[in-house]
Amino acid sequence: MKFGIMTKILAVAAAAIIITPLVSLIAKVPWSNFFGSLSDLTAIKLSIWTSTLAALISLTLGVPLAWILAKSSNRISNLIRPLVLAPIVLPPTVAGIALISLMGRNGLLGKSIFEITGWSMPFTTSAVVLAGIFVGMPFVVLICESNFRQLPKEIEDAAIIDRVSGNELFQKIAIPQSRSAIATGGILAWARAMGEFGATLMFAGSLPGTTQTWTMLIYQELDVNVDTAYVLSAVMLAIGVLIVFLLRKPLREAMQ
Amino acid sequence: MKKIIALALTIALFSSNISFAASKVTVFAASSLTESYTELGRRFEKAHPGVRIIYSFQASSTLLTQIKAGAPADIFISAEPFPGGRDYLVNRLVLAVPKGSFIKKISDLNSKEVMWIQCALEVPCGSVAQAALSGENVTSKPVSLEPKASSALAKLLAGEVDAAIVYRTDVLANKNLRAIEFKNLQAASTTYQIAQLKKNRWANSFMNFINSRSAINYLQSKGFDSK
Repeated sequence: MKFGIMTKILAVAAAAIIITPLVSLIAKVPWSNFFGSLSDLTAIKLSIWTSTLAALISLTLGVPLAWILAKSSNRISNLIRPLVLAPIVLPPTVAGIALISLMGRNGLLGKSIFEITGWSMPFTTSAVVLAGIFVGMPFVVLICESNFRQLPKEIEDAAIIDRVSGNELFQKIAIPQSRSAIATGGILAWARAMGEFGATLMFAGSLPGTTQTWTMLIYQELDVNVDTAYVLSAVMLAIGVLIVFLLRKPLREAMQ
Repeated sequence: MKKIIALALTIALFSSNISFAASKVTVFAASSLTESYTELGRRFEKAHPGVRIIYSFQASSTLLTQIKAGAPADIFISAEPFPGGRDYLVNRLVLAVPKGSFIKKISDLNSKEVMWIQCALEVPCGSVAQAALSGENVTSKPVSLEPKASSALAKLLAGEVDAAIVYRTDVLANKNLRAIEFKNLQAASTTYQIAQLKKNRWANSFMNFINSRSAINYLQSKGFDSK
């Protein structure tokens, strides 16, 4: 295909806006001190396991929700759909305030929990996981729902003729047919949870070993030891690029 | 397409209206100065119509990093000494608790189920807190190490913690809070330093204003000591 000159210029500008900062980041990484800066892996480990847990929970709960939303069009589902997708466009600080107002010691639910058990969620690792689910699960719902909607009508008709129950249709046909979408949603949820910063800071705080995540550490090291901040950022960038690379096939399928 | 371009231009114009303001002074100030300096800025703007004071309140170390990276600050006020800074104000860290709290003295932090927070050791309010705590017999640990004084205060005001090590000025500014002093007042004290980074008419003028008798009186009424 031949592209117009204007199209080419705009496309190059678009790519440059995104790629040049990333390349500059890599250029600034102090390679000589690369592994020295990674001596303390506490925050990285915490981020990896909390976001993995958040992604697994998001899939377990989000896929059934996506199925129900895809197969019903009543008033309730039309109301719930925009609400559960809202965190995708919500600023993280707003997510943080929302989570505190529910689960804080004075929150709608958190207050009773605190009065009965003496336990409150803020400043615990569970708060990090919940924040990750809150911002990550909407990606599972978004991608899986649109995929479930595209399930060929013939399959559904055949299922009805064969007296296959709705539940079997979901478990034995819809889920296997939507593997790409589920994988894409899960990995996007994982990446989003991993990159979470604002909501975590407000809701979970920052304590090494408990709630100080990778992104929180980068923010702190920028003022203390810039080299470490660059190394931590570069590793995260590498993971991000790897994810998109691994996802190229399922992403393409899920978008169709 | 035309509509989209028109819309984009409108948004661009509105969002950049700051740069069209007649004159502005950009002040980078420690987050513990948020309340009092917002008020001082308001007074200055009232006396000098057309001039705008633009603040960035953050942890002092964050602001210093940004200034080194070329952030356009006219005036910098840090909660800890920095190269080129001149002593300006004195403040002190205290243990802040809600009025009516069962926490009466610093060592009450050791009692079970008390949740308290302080700043991270990398920012001034955290390193000073550590120095002040070293003179006390506190064996419990904070539930979070906050990146700046104002976020520690916010969590106390939200009721998510029982106590927070914050500045005395923060406590004076909040009717519902009470201050418990550390034994070693010297160790708990911080000196703010100030520097004018750019010379221009309105930066000079604002610099004079915040060093004026009336501004210092106001800051003293908020709990700061002048240096």
